Amino acid sequence: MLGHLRFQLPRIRALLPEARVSGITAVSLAAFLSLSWFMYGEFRHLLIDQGLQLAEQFAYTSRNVFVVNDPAAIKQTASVFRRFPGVRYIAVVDKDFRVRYEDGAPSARPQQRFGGQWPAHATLAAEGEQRWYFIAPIRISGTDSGSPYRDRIRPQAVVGHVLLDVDKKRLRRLALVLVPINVVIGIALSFLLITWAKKETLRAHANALESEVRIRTQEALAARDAALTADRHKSEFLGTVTHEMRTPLHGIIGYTQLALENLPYKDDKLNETKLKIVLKNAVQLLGLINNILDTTALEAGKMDVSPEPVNLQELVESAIETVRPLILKNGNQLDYKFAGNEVAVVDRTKLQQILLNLLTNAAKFTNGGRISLQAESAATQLCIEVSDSGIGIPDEQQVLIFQPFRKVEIDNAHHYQGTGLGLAISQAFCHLMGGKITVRSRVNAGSTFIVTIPLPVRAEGYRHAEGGAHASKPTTD
Amino acid sequence: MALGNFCVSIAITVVDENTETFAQASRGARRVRRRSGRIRGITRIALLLVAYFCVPLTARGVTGPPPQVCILYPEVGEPYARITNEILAGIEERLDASKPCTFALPDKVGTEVVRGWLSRHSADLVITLGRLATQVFEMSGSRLPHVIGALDISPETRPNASGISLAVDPRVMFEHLKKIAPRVKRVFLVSEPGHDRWLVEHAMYEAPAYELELRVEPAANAMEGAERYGQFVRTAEPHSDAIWVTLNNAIIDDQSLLPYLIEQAWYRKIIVVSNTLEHARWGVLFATYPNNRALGLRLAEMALRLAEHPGKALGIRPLEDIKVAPNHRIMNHLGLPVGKVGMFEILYD
Repeated sequence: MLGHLRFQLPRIRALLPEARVSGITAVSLAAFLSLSWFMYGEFRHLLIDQGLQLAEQFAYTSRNVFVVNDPAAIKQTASVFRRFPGVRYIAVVDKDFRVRYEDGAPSARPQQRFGGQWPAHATLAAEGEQRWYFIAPIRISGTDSGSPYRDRIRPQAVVGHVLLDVDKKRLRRLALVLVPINVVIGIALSFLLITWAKKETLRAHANALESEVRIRTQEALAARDAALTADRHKSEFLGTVTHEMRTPLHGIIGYTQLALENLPYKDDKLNETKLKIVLKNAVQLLGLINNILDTTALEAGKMDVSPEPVNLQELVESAIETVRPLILKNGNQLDYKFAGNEVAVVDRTKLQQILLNLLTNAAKFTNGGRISLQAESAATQLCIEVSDSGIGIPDEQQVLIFQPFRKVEIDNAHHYQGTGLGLAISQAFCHLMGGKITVRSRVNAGSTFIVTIPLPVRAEGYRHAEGGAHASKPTTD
Repeated sequence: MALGNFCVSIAITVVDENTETFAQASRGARRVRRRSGRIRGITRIALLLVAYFCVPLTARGVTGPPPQVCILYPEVGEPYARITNEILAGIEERLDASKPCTFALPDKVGTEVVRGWLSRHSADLVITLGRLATQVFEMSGSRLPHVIGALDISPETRPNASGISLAVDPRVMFEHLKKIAPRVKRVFLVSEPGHDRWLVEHAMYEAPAYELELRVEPAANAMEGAERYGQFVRTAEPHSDAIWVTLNNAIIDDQSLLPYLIEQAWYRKIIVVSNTLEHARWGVLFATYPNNRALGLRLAEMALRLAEHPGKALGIRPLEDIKVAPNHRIMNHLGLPVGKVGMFEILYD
């Protein structure tokens, strides 16, 4: 049974909206039909009350002419009441059922109507299909018992009756109008109710969704704040550690260089080789520490832009010269081209760092290939394009390479040394100068990194670059 | 002493005959009545003179204590209180020496209360005013001499009573009618046979003296009464026919009758007179109302006479002391002289 019910549940749920529409329509129609019935009843009572009042008024008005038995006056009085809307028959009878006056077609003779039992008050004696039959007594009032000087008190006496037939046409007409109107109103109202209910449901859903989104957003913000806090702590830790490491490292490098300067005179080839290894690793370590410090400074928002007029051609060529040994070491050929204005206002250090990083990467990941550097300096923009014919970057990893400590994940990745900070720092520097860096690459076909920097570079930098490579999304073409 | 008493009794008998004979006198002509009245007046004076010198002083009322008259009347609000006070003032004016005591009866007073009160005040005679006081006294079973006032009583229903009815004396009514509307020749009246015979007889007797033809129709109830009046007003002759609406509320329902009667009378220029003051405001030519102070005087006089002969009923007399309230607008409408309207205390317009 339960299983069957569980099976039917979705169907029932699907039928619910239709059931709600039907229910609202049914309730509205029922309400308005009840209203019709109620109004019909009230109007009927009203018409009956009017009939009773009319009969009573007729009895009272005709009392004077009735007691003096003046047929002409009775007729005159009755004709006034005969003209009332709906009055179809009017009569005045005495106590012995003798008709003193009548006008219109009677629905029944007085005796037949009331069987000789005359009511003491205005009464709806009978109700037919077409008419109401009213009867009211004609009274002679009693002597004013308040007068203390009357020996006898005459009681009130009924001396005759008036009969009044009132047509029910008005009631029938009302029923004919009332029911259709109320049905139409009921349908219209049910339509409005359904529309309103739907809107309310949608609004409720929207509200629920909005609440859900708000909760999720707050959760995400909390998570982001926690992550940022953790990241800041990490940066602070790295900055402190690396800064503290750099001082002794300078000592190591300095004294190693001094030792190397003295060794040629001692012809100690073995130690010379060892010291060179030490120096190389120390320099490499210093580079790593410098990168980490740059990253930390970027993430902490403490990296400033220092624009100055720079001879771009010299700067580019200086970078090439720095990297050239590595280029040559891997058997690569370098093509270089510079066009445009030689001098531009840029941050020399940062632009040099960007060029070194890009050229180093190109040299590192290309073996026996070609490396090309094209720089073009216009009045408002500097564009540098560094291409190689190296191993390339898979599409799915092109968005990751700009994140700190992320390197291209390829099979022989261990052959390529590096911290994974170069591109992240390059991108952050580009952003600081208001520019951008994009990559275009295909696996085993090479990569092209394009740096675009608007000129002149402004000292205030671009705060949106704050947070460095973490907050920025690289663009890939 | 014995001779004195005898003479007094003869004199009183003659006086009572004179006062009670208006009914019998109605059977004769007015001239005959005037002649026989003169003879009886001389006889009465002679007998009274003999009696005066024969009876002792106490019998003359010179030195004896006056009878203690107690007046019972209803405790009512205005406008009835004013009427009652005027009647009481009339009675007290006449009974000044005997200092009558009065008792305003509340609505639900018991008969034993009234008996006790009368006993405490050593009442010799009682005057009752209005329905409540009269009924309560009659039910109390007291045997004290009793005079009824301020009530539309009839000797037909109270044959052994003494009092003055509010039913107006036809003679006085005719007199005022002729004074205001001299062209009237015929008077129409509806009567209740078991109640109004005494008035009808008197009216029949008095009418010729005023050159009036009296037409009386009997009615057993208000419906019949209204029908008779309705028939008459539809057939009456303008200016010369008058309708007299009496106080008999058993056969006259003024609420249903008067509007019709007045309307028809207006259109047909028929004269309608009434004994109910309110009707003058409604539109009858004139209505009469009691002269309450004079009524009080007459009641006191009747009480004094009854005190002298406690065992004898003095009968019920119609109201003679009336005032007239005409309707100025109706007088104008009927073309009646309006020059003397200043003599009336109440004038409706």
